[in-house]
Amino acid sequence: MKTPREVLLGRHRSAEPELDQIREHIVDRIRGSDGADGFARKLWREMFWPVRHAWLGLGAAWMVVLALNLATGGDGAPGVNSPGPMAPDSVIALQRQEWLMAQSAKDDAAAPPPAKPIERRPRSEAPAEQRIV
Amino acid sequence: MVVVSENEQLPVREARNGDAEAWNVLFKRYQLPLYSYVFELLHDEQLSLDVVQETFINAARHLPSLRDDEKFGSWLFGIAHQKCLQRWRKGRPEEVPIDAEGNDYADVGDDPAEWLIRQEQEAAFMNKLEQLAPAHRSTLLLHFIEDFSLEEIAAVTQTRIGTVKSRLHYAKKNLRELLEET
Repeated sequence: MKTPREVLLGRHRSAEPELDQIREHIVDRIRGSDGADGFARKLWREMFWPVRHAWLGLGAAWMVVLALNLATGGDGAPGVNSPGPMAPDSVIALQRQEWLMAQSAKDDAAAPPPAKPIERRPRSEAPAEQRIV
Repeated sequence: MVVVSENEQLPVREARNGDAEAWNVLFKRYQLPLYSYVFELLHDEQLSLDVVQETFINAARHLPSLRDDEKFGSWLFGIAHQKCLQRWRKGRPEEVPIDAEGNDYADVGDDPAEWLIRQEQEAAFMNKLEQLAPAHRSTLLLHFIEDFSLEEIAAVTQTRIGTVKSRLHYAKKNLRELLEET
């Protein structure tokens, strides 16, 4: 007595040599593909695919950041690095510093031009009144 | 070489990692059942070998799309079933296709192991099986060959579970009647 499965499979056992050939051929192709572009596939399988959700999440987060940046005109939304409103003391100190800088620039402009360097000549060429006899 | 019994855990995970030996084990496990199923639908040796080959190639290419490793068997049969449908539509448009709808009938039949066939009945069994409507034959073959659940048969044939129940019921009923006639 046989089960239907045994009857059905038994009826087709004669096809096993051809099926073995097909299987070996495909397995050889799978083996071969490991050599040529195996590195890229391995990288994909081991680096990306197992943690694909994490990569997708990271990608989505970056997309949100990019979208927010574009929505705010890309000129830097107020954040951690942007300066806040200045304290009145700082403003006064800054204004005083600017005034001092301006004064010093004015003084520089009013100062006489630098003295002409003295040309050194031989003593015999000196004017007569300066000449010591 | 790793040899796997039918109930043992199949190395699907290893196959996902491109392990050629794991593929060898999987293909060896399914090559004859798959061929038997395809042949009983198409009745052409060369065509059936081609379908098995294409099924294996597709499986190796698209394994990442399989979500549950436990469903590898039904997934593989599903690929083969779709290829049979394509061949069927090309070659035999006048016959009833194997995906034709049936009436719903909420009854699940016997265990395939209860269908014990004597040696002198084997030829008659195969002969009667061929007389069944293609959709019934396909459902019964999946039930007999791999003992797939109703859900798995529905996934393979891309039909509703109710339709699978109906087909299985009528296929068994018709087969029993045909066998009793002999």
